[in-house]
Amino acid sequence: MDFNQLISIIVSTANFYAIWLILSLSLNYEYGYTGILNFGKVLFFSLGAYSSGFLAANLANIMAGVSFDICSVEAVQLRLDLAKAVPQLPLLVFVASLIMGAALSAAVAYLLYISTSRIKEGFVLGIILLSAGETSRIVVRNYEPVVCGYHGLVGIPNPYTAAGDPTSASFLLSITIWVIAGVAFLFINKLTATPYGRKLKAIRDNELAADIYGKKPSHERRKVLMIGSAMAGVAGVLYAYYLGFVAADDFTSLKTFDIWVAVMLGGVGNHLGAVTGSLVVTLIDRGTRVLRVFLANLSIPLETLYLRWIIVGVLMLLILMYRPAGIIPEKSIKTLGLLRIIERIKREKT
Amino acid sequence: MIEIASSLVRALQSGALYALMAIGLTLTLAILKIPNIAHAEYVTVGGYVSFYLINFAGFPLWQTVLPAFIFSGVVAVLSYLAVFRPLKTRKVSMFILMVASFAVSLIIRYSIYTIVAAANWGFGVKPKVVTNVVFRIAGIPITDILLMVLPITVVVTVTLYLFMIKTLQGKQMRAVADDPDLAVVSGINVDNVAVLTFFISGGLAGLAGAFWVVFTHAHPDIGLEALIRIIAASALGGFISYPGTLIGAFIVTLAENTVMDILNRNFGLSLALKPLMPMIITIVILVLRPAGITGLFSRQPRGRVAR
Repeated sequence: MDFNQLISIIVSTANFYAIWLILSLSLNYEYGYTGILNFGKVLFFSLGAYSSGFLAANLANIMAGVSFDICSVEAVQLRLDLAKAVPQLPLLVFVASLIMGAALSAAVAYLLYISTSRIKEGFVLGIILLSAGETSRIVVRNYEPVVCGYHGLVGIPNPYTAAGDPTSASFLLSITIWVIAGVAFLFINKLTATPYGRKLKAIRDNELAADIYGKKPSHERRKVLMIGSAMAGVAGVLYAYYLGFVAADDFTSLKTFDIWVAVMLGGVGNHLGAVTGSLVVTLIDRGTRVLRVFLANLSIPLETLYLRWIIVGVLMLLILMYRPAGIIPEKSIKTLGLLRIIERIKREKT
Repeated sequence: MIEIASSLVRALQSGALYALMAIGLTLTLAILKIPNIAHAEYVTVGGYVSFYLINFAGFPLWQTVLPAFIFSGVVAVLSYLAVFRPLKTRKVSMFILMVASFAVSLIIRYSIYTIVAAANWGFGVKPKVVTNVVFRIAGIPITDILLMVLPITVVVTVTLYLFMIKTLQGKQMRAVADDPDLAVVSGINVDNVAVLTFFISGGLAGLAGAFWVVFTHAHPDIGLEALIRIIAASALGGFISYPGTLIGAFIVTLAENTVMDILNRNFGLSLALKPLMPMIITIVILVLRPAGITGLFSRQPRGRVAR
């Protein structure tokens, strides 16, 4: 393995880590803070990816004034040619995809939330989200006009074609992904380190009490689900642009499970937990892929891709049974008022 | 007209199978309060038992039904004993149980993947079952598999219903569904009830899987593909009602096959949109009647299991 290969593996792992981090932070915000059972994370993730594929393909057709089938070879060539001819265009499409992905995910989250809002049991929303995720995958896989069905849509141009050579363009894209992940981390951190974050935890811990204090649990949950889904949509757009390729079969409920493992492993209701957990999950994910190539070179017939999911499933069960709080357990929030009371008690004791 | 009628017949036979699959989910949810996503994998297990016996041991289809029932039931009981019981004794929330069932479903599915890859059975192979048209009613072909599926479904559902209302075990199950604490106080062994529930629900899913694999093909994902219909059927029953689930399964398959066929024929709607139908039905039902379709006939806000 030479140096360049190592660098590319590290960069791609970092990119996947950043995308996983955004998803884990949003799930932690939903489940860890507010207690929403979101089993459809992959639905919102995939909506971001589909919208970027859809926009990139159809805008190229509209710009060139032709009506190719978006899956045809000509259309792929057209997209790449157009990106070379008008280097600013892919960046614009990228920004438009980010907005559309976030908006579409939030809108679908809103619709699915209000459809179950008459039911008290929280698990129903989880089941419906899971079912919606699987439904959308099966439909998009068989329905060509979205992202070319089974074969997937290829040739999403890099947004930084203006930078010239492909290496620096992909490096700029990686930096964009890391910056967005960092911004997501800061955003969620600031958002939940406020009275608003404590309100969400109150809703999670005791909905009735929160309701009596006038905190509107259903309303808040809907908002949280929409914000979390918009974040997942952004992650999906980044994923699609990073791979340059969208296919429906990439978005099975396995992705949802990965994010759940990240959140449960790291620690529920605590952002550092999501950071740690998604790192572990990314390393497992990338590691098994590298291991697979390695084993294939040694011609050892062991299918690590299947084994990987069994290991992750067992890991999840072990966490749930023996360490439900995760690696970094949630700490109680120390507000100024609480600190003052603790100080007074200490003073009275002495 | 004949196309629509034969599509109705097909909807009848897949509706019967979805009903068998969905009953199990409703039972575990109503009695034990476990939203068991791994339920779909019991279908796959049953399907593979049937596939193995037909293709490699030369059994006829009807003889594979009982082994599929027992094997899937045992897998379901094992998943209860290994995962859900330890978690229940820790008094975890329903959410955690659902996350755990997600993990169980992955473990079962990928174990099947590993076994199939290791034994070199191939993915997506059809079981060697020849479907014969026995006779035609007004031009609608009636196959021998339909004649096998329908009576077995009717017998199983009626037996289960009688079991739930007549026998002591059935009464215990309903008591646990109503109030687990009161059931314990009355001297019911809740653990035995749970094992029995898991055995029955897993077994029914396996039984359905044994037939289901003949209509589709043997692949570790067949349970996952059926999951959206199972959930829709169960949601139509309000996740707790036994007859509601049965009716729901037929409504879902009817909408997915016959209605979509008609829409495709007359309005040119793509058949690829078929899987959207269960989702749409589920959402419409949840918005209009959160208690499920059986809530239409009772004044109680929620129906109860097996009433």
